[in-house]
Amino acid sequence: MNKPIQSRPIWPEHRFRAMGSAMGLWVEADQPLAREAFGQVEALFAANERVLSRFDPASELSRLNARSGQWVNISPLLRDVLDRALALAKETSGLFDPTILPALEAAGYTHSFELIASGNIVWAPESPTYPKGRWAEIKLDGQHVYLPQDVRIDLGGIAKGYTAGQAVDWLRRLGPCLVDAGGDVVAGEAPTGMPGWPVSLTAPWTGDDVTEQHLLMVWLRQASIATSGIDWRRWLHRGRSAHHLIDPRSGRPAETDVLTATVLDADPARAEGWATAALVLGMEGGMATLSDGDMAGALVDAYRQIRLNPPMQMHIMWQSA
Amino acid sequence: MTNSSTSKPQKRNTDPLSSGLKAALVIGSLAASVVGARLVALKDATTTITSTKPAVVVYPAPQAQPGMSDTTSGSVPRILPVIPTVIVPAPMPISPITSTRSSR
Repeated sequence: MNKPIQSRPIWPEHRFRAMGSAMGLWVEADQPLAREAFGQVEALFAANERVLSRFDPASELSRLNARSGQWVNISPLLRDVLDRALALAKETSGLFDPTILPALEAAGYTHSFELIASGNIVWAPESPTYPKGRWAEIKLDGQHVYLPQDVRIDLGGIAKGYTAGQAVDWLRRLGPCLVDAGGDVVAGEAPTGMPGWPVSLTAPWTGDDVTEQHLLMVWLRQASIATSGIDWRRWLHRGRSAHHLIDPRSGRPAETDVLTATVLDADPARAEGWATAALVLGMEGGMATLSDGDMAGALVDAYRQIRLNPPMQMHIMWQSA
Repeated sequence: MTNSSTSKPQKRNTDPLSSGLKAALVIGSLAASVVGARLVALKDATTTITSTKPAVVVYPAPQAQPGMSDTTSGSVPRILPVIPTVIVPAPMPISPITSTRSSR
């Protein structure tokens, strides 16, 4: 890979792990102010994880999931994220479905991926059947929610992007900022003298050459770019290969020719939700659906074919050969 | 065109714009000059076109095919070397600060 033409400025930066993923924060501000703000954002991610994580039995979400079939009072945070998830389910015609938790558990995703990857998991007995499409039966009334019997929620599909959006709103008080929440990247204003934050899309394939390969680059400004993929979170479950992106139509890990689906949108949760939906639909269906909705998308398949639609091409400032 | 065995001596055709001119094939290497360019007619050896105006010269398209010989000119064509082409991606204008990827 040729060296970049221009070296970029060094901005205050902070790295940490949260929600099972690597996080990155950048802000164009003085170091002391940036350091303080970074600490507050890291605390924000930890606080949201205590509410939204299905892996924590004490989280508010876990307690809600244990009380299906009755009205439950919930916090403004959980209410807002759930509301966004249901709106995305409606917008994607159920291809993004927050009620897939039973299907995830049936596929073996019963614990955090870090634990699964460690190999120290004893698989639970087969989970009950996933109740397909019942997201539409969930009722929200003010701060109260009703989950139909046996319906349980997973918010892993949008929790990172949602929290990253909150983090940008917090950091932007100091200046131009960028938040990378496990690959879901949310940008505030552009840094001084630049059209945006330079963010690349990396290739999902690895091989003998494990050096990170950049496929394209965008200037990200006041927008989000999110990637869903089956290239990393994969495991063997009961002798079968499995991954974490469930096709709500089958209730099983999506059988798709897409390795990664990337969507650029003003809203981080929407970018995440549609990236998942596009991956489930496959190269042809996914790209057609994104294009029909005028959503900027890039799909990559196992044959190293990259497909971009015109709305995404408008954002691209560099692309590998 | 007339039969060569019974043809009368043909008048020299000094008019290059005559509609009776026949197309001639140019084979082999040609001397590239405006005046005195020579056309070699294959089909009708009796037709000689002379003109004070430059004739149309048709250069053969380069076809470097190994083993092919040009029997009409008697010369062996040069086989052009194949230059390997390597596509080098343009360098990135700037190094990315981070990348979007599936969660890890």
